[in-house]
Amino acid sequence: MHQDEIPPGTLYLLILRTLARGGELHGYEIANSIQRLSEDVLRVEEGSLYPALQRMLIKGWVKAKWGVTAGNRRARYYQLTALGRKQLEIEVSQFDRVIQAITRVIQTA
Amino acid sequence: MAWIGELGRRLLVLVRRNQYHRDLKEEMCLHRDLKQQEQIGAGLSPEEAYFAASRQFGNATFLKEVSQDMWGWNWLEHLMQDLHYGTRTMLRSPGLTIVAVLSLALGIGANTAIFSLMDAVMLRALPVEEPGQLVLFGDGRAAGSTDDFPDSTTRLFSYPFYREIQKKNQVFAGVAAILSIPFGTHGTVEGRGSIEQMNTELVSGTYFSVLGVNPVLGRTLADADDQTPGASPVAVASNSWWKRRFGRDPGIVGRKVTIGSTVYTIVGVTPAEFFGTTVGQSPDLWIPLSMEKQISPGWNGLDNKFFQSLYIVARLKPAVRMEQAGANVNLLFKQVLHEYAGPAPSQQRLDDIQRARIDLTSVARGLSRLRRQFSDPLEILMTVVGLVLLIACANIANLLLARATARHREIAVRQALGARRSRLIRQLLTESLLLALVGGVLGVAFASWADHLLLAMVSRGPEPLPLDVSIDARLLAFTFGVSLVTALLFGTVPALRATRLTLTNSLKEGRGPVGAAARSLLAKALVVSQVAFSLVLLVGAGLFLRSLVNLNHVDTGFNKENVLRLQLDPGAVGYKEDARLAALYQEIEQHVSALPGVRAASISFFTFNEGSWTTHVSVQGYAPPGNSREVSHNIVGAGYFASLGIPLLVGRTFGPQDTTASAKVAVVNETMARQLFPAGSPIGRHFGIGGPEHANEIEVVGVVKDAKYDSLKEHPQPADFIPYSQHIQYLGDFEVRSSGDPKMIASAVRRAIAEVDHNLPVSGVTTLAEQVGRSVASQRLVARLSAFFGLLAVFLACIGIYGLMSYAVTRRTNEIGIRMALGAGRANVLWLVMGEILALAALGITIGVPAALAGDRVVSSLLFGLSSNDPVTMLTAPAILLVVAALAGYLPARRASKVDPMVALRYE
Repeated sequence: MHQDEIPPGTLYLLILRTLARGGELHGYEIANSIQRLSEDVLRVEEGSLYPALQRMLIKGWVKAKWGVTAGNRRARYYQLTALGRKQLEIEVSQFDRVIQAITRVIQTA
Repeated sequence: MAWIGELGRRLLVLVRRNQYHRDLKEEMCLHRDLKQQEQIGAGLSPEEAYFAASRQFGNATFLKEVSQDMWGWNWLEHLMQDLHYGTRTMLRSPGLTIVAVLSLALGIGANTAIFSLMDAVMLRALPVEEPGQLVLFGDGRAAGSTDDFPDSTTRLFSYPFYREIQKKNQVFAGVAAILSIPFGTHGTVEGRGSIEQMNTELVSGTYFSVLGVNPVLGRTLADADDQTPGASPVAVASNSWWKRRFGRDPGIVGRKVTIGSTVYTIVGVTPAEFFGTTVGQSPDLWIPLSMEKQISPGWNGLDNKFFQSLYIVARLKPAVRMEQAGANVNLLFKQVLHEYAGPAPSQQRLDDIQRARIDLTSVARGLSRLRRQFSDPLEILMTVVGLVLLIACANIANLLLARATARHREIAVRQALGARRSRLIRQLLTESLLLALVGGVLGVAFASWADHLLLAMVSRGPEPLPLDVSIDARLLAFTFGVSLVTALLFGTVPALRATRLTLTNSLKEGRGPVGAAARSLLAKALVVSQVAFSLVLLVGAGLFLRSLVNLNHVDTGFNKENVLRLQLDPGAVGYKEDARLAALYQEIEQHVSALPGVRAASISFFTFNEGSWTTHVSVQGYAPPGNSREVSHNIVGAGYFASLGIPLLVGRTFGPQDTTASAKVAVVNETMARQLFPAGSPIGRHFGIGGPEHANEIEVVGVVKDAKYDSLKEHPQPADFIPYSQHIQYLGDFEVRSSGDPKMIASAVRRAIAEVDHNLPVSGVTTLAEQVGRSVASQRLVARLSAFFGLLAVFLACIGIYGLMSYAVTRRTNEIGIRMALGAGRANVLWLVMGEILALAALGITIGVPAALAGDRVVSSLLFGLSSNDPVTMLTAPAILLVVAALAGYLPARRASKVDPMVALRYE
């Protein structure tokens, strides 16, 4: 099975989008969710996920609280904030603009 | 506004750091566990699953660090870690640390101290409005008064000329005048019985407005105070005098002060930072020039066009350049001089006017004789302390190199564990910085103590100069900068070296790390440069010390030992320049001479190094060549020659027969006798002060031996002595020759003076020897300090040599063991090591000698009686260094020769 690295700059977008859909998730669930929704094409490296989450906490895009998993383990659950929702819109429109631009370049070529 | 919330969250992380660390760790632990379960679900054994999960997860510690990076506090955390770790390493080797910190403290402290003095004397701008717009007429290199018609670059000006310039110029926003001589007058504050010293400066009414200095209390002077001679007895008090004498009592405005027989009203107080316009002088009172005659009856400059005694300071109009102003001023100067020369000037006068000119100079940093006197010494000393600091840096760099070698395994292990090189370098530099900052803090403490010592050394009298050398923000910034540069200087190379390792070699075994040869080469280069620098400093110190010795051995022509010196101020208590004053002088001389232990006592105008009163003299039928008819005059009492120990060669000195009624007499010195009366005996011949019409006025009655009058360096010059009984005026100097220590009779002399007139102010009690010593204050300062720093440099270089050789001997222990096992004797081994030391020292000296020869051209202005390539110094300094280097190296060399071959061989 071939897995692709996530294109740089889009990790925040993916995490925000995942949280916007699924409510409260912990880190492992976020990674899994992205992998599943991308039909196993995108794999989230732990080495990128946790720094990103820490940065998003500082930026105030997400908030976190401790809860208990189904397996009765303590886990930190992340949730989107209003600020995060706004950021998601910004990231989506930015992404769209870039993708369209790239598409145009590829098609004319 | 988002950044405020972000900052809040960041701060929260900082405050709850530990909790955030725990949370992150737990979260990542869970992630890894869940991964492991996933692998088990996929059919792996638990053990395999564990490894697979760990592999996928990567370096957990690294991951955690990267995540923490996002909090934005890593730099702080690392700094704290490095400081903590650095402190621990420093405390682990306290001896090394103490040596390093102390030599840094001395180095940085010396730099700070010299810089603070340099700043106060040479660099700081006057604390007035826009000091850059202020210009001085002339260069301020003269003080006093002259009545010569201006015929070259002019420095002193008359009051009428000041008024002309003020009226006619088109380039200045304001013009002010300052009397070039400050008065150490005495006066009484109303309601206080005692008379006290009050330094007064006479200034024009425009002085404060031109400078832009506003009072903190009352008012300053106005032009209206400076209109009618004698009509404005007002004074502005300096802030420091107000603080010192009135305890900042706001009631000072309106208080009366009596100086001489005039009562002045204090009208205001200046701001604290304003000390006047001359660096190193701080007047207590500023009084308008209109009161000149009241302060000093002999001075009548207000209406005399040729009584030139003022400095003129002016503020340029905005957008007027110095050259424009200069052109305008010189044009006016020539016009005014033409008027002064009268309707039909002689060709001589016209030539004079042609040559006369005024050079404008910037006075942004104030006037200062001090600056001229101490600029060279201070620059030299700044270089000296800079070199000392460099030597200290070289030492510390060597210590750190040695320590880096001892730590290379630790560093290799840390690099293997994933520490980035930049991180390690940063840590090593933090340690250096810590060392430098501790040194800097101690240095500031050292400097604030040393500053007072320095100030006392540059002061001319027993009172320290009023210079502000306190530690201020500027100085702290300087010290911090120096510490920072120092840390980079001694820390960078060792840090780069220490972290440049070939890991496998270093990890394999501790011995013989790669690059050891290069490292010891670097260490040797550092020691060689230390020796070279030390040599330069030693040569400098030698030259200055020998100059000082030469100065001290100059034949002064008088005997400076056992003479007490006091300052009297009869004008302050109402004496006029008349017969009563002469009687007072005589009575004081008689009373004091009668004291036990006193051999002679005399009043005089000057003793030594107090300036001079020089005029042209005329001798009937004698046309002297060139300038040789310029003669310095002194006004003295009958006991003057006995008091100073100046031998009488021919004729007589003064006696009771010389009165205002009798013929005017003078004693001349050998040079004057030779120049003015070349043929026959000068006794009974006549001369006069001034032009040929006076040539018959004064009869020569005696000839005394030549002496130095103003400076130890001066060449013999013609001088005459006039008895005060025939030339009555205010005289301040009183000198008493004692049979023993002059300080012992000081209080008896003061009592005797008080018996004559208990109001008469007595000040400036010192000895003639001290006065002579003070006249070479700049040479003394440079000699003492350069000797001190030269020795310090040699000492530091010794530590460097000792450290290097100890380290080398330890590293070569088994080589030495092999040599000895093969039959080398102890003496051979001793010489093996000593030879290396001497070679290093010799190399340093070889480099240092040309450097010293080149540098010494700069110092020749401070040398006396020897040239800058003085062979004695040039031979002694290297010899001293070689001996000292040998001593420093002997201990490690001896240790090497005591090596037991068996122990040494087993050592590996």
